[in-house]
Amino acid sequence: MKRWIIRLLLVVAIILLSIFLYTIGKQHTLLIDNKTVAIAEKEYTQQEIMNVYLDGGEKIEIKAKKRKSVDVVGPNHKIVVEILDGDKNIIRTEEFTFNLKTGDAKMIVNVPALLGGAKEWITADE
Amino acid sequence: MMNNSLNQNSAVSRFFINNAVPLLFVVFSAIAIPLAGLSPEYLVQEMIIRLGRYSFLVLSLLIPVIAGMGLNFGIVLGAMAGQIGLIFITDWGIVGLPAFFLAIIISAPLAIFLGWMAGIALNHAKGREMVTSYILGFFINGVYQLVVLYGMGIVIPITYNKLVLPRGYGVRNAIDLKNILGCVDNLIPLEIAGIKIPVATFILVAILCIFIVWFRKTKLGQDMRAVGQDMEVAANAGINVERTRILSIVISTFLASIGQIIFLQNIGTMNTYNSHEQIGMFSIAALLVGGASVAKASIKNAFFGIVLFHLMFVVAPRAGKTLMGEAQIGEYFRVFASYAIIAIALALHAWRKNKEKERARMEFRTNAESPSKGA
Repeated sequence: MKRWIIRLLLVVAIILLSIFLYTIGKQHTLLIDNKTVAIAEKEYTQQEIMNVYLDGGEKIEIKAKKRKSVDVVGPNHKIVVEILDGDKNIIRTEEFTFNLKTGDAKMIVNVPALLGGAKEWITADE
Repeated sequence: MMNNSLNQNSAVSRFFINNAVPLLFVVFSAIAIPLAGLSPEYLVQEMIIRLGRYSFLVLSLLIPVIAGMGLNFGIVLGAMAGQIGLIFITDWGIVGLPAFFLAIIISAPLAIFLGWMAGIALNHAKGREMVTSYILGFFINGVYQLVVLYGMGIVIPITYNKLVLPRGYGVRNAIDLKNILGCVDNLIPLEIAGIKIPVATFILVAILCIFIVWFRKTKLGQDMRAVGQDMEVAANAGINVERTRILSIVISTFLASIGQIIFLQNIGTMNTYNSHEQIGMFSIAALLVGGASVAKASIKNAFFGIVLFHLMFVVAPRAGKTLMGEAQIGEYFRVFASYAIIAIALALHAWRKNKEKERARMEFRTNAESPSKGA
């Protein structure tokens, strides 16, 4: 009996470990938009140019009306947005953290909506 | 005086007989290396890469040898299980080390099941384990192809469209494993004199070596040795021979599945229908080149064999080009050599066995005659 309980616990531990590995190893594609968007009858205007850093990675420069694709791994992420003027001087910097579910394979991140405090700044790419 | 020189002669001839295959390769390498004209740095780098890539697979062959089951051609079964794990993690979009470990977890039950099945089959074919495991590899390869080519995408859901054939089901012939490429090899980066060393892979290999050394001292390891020496005596001593033999194949198949995952994370591309096919042959050839035999194999044989065998792989095409003006000659040679080594090793094993029997008979006769002369 004791032997079977140990075996059962071992199987449960392996299943839990698999779920953990799946969650922390899952890759998500983020499509980062710098586009004007209207959410709940409110318009969030695009920025002229911005730099985006995801999880302390390389700088991603996104001009107005443009989209960049980035792959991230795991559930917890940090996004740093630098708003630049025409001479590429930093006007302001904003930092946000967000979580992704394992089912969120491809997501659209609208940075103007994120900066404007919109609830639906991240949506699934249909 | 005459007896002494006779003993010395027999010791020298025994050394040459026991080490015929590695000596042949040392001589071949000594001739081919200068002809190939490759730099020592390049050769050292290649050998280090190949040691990391193949060690786990070759070491997975050792346990069935202890149990007297010869060289387990059935590691191909483990390789297939490892590949199925890799197909799933690629489909699910898992990357890096979590993907590596998840692939091991997925392949483990499959490898254990296949090993158990192979073990049962080999118990019904005592004395002919090698040829049986070789044919089992072909049999399971057919099942694997059926599952991967027709089952995946229909019965087993595959969502990543780059993985599925254009017809909508079946896995493509080549899978890009960029999600786990070098995830173990590059985990602890180390470069000495411009030579990259996959430290984490070597740590995994070292853990396996420690496991093998420890395993030999355990009750199960001792049982396997007893079974390997004489099954009847082992059974009379109360050892469950059949179970012990099955366990040795299960362990070997499971280790081979991990070995195949390590191998493919190093290569970075998986040929869905071919990657596993040559694994058994090349791993066994490498072990034999290292001086192992059907009945005796050690960790030292595995490492020595990988270096010698793959040294030939690297230098043969270039040496062939220098000698004949065509690299293809070297390619032919290395393929021919890998099959020839196995044939030579098997023939040598049979010949050595006969020689041992003859020697034992002669000794018995001499001992029987001596007392009567004295009397």
